[in-house]
Amino acid sequence: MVSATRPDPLLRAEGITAGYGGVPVIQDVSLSVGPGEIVAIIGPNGAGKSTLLKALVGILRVTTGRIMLGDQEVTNRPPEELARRGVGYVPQVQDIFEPMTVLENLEMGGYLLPAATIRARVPEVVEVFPALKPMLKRRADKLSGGERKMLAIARVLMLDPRVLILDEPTANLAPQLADKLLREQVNGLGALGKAVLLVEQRARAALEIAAYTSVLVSGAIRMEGQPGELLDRQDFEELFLGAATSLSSTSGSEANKV
Amino acid sequence: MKLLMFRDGEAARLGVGRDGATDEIVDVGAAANGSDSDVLPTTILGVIDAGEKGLDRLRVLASSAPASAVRKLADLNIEVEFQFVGGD
Repeated sequence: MVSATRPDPLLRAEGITAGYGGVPVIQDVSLSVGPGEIVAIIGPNGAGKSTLLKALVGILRVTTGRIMLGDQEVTNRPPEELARRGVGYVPQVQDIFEPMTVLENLEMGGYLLPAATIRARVPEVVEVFPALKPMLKRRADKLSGGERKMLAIARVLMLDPRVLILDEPTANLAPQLADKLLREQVNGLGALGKAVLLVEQRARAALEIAAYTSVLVSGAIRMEGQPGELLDRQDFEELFLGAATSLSSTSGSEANKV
Repeated sequence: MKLLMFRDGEAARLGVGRDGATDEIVDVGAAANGSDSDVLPTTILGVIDAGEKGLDRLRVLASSAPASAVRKLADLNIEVEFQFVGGD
């Protein structure tokens, strides 16, 4: 097995616990992602994946542990401060404004840029997602599911974040579209040098693009490693077999979901 | 719909335009006066996070804001401004 060296972490969670109403949903979770690296968090529904992301971006309060951005602690810093420091977050829902045009959505994503530079940033972002170029004046509610998610990611790219946190970008997409989004667009973000932290239900597709994967079950990291390491572990597949369906099924099928 | 951030001393404040009024905006914080501060966004990121429900709340707020919360655009130190008209 080839074991690649991981880059120095850019965003790092160290033993964080967070939840709602005093009840922890995730406990003692540690993970990291470095520049140009795609790290996937997979796990069954209710494992706490979205909760983890919300804690990382300051939406949800961390009660123990700490979060580091580079060499600076950013635990429980407000979302806007984290955005200013280069952490971009694409939520699973409410990811775009449907009544606005594609261009208006993108411009709004540039809210922290000097006003005079917002419009100039749009073509740079559209270069990452060329499919959006002919759609700039289209209302966002006229976009397909895949185009919509591209817009959601592009809107966050307006601030040129160093870290991109994506909460299940393939949710509600047809399997083929989901695979295409992951393999082309999300994979491309890593190639741009972004540190990409990806929550994904489609475990096999995530393993194909991620350099490192953490498996979250019942709020705790149950196992982690490079894709090849995980796939070699019998308990990895057993875990998912127990949770839902086989990982060894054909990529893109419904059975690919875990 | 117009959204903007303006600076008031050290504080950055969210403003929202009112239908038919091109030279003034509603200071969201002043209009909410604490009563809806937990559900009303106070920054552009807050608007983004709140999604369309957040925009709807701002529209309602703007239409019913007291005169004391209305500010003349010419008097503001505007940091960033967005005008949304939608498309086809």
